[in-house]
Amino acid sequence: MKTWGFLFVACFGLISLMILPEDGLFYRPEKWPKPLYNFEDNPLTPEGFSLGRALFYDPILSEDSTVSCASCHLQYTAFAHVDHSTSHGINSRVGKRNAPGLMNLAWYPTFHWDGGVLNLNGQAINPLTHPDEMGETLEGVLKKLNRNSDYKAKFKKVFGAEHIKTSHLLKALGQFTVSLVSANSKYDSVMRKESTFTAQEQRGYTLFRNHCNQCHTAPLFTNFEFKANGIGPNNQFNDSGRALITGKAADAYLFRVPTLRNIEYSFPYMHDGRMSKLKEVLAHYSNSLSWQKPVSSGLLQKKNTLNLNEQKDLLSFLKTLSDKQFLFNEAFRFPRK
Amino acid sequence: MLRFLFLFFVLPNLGFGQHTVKLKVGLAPFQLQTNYLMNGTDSIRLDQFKFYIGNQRGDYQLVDASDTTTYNLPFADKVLVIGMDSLANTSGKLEGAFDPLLGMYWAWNTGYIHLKLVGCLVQKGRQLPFEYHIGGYKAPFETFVPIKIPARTKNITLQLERLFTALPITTKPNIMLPGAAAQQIFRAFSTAFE
Repeated sequence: MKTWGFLFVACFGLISLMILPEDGLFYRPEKWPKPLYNFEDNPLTPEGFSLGRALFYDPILSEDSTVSCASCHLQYTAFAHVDHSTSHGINSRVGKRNAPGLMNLAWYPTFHWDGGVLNLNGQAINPLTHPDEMGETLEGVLKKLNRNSDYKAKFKKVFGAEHIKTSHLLKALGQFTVSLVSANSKYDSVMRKESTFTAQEQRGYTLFRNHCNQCHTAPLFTNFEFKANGIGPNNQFNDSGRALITGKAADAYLFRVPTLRNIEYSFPYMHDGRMSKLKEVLAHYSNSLSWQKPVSSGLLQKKNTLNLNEQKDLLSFLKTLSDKQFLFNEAFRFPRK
Repeated sequence: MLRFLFLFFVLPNLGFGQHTVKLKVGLAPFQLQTNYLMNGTDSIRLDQFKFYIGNQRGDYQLVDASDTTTYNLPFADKVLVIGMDSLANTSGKLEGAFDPLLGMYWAWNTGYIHLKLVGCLVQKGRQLPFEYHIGGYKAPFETFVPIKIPARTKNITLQLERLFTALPITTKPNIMLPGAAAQQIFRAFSTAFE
């Protein structure tokens, strides 16, 4: 009996290794759409990935070398910024938006809560240079990297260049962030018919399909559109969201539909992080009487009214979107030298 | 045969070699940090002047008045473009002429500044600073225009007086976003090509 148990564990270990590339490099999960990231322009290599990983965790990227990308994007919280409604940068300066979780970025057509950024590689310039985030200049970062013999050698190995340029820095970071694929939650294993939902999760899944899936569409659990979900404008920041990008009045207070993958771990919620518990989020969506204008038409038509038991069922389904293999993948951790 | 085709199709298209940009204000050559008398009383001075110019195959160069080597264009096409097409704006190619280090990249709203003018209007002893970041690739506020270069022309001359007189410095000293006002300045810029 013991032998059988051992064999079972060994087989299971082998299977999970096969599903998840050990080096952490990007992979396309079965039946997922074609990724949008331009891999031809930035061919992934283990060295490029590990360089990007080193940079992601290195405060050298910030103006006073105190803040790294990982300061606001922690792995155990799906690379979101837990416990801070909006994120803070150098000198404790506070931004006006909630740092989103980073996962499955290869499929994103746009980045940021307002969708203003069109390329993953170019995205990194924003936190690097924003005065409320890392407060650096591109010139400053490149100067520091070019003075660092360790980084110079690594960049040379990956890009074959003597001098580190903007595109090298951004492509290296892109190699790491594009590889943050999360597709091994319980939900995924149920879809692959490797396990089954509990009765409560199944009830939650049915509710999800009826009430949430239109915007939080599987397998990415977002349709990447911009919506107003009735939480009302933030009084402190008066952030008009999508309208800042399009200049259209109709886009005022619209924000990106976020993914629900690992949502259990990526609190707080909403673009300004005003809700700290998933229960609050579900209560908000379940009570259309409490909604403040503007509210996108698709949501208004739904007029969700879920009772407390239904909310509990939905919550238990949402927890099946947690991907422990992703949250604790050693390949994504702080690199110990 | 190939050589024959080259003579007939490629050479005429190349004209007389690659183009060189010449910047003038009236009869004087343009330089940064130099006051140019506008209408007898006011004068204008630029501290930064940069713009993108390219061909219809998607090659671009940033002409930067602080580095006159950028006046020599690496292409010789008979039809050039000023501004930048939407693909070049959004492709995410962040190197060469597209390096964000050149100070023309809008990081938070992906796209490039097509024409940058930073300077001062000197009016009755007062200095009125202005800053124009002109760009846009989305309809109806594109700033992207083809420029026909006459045959046998190697030097491309820009008469900047036409641009300077069109700047709304006293009413709108700062324009940093795409829109009708930005487009108007860009239109004036396109008429500067002689």
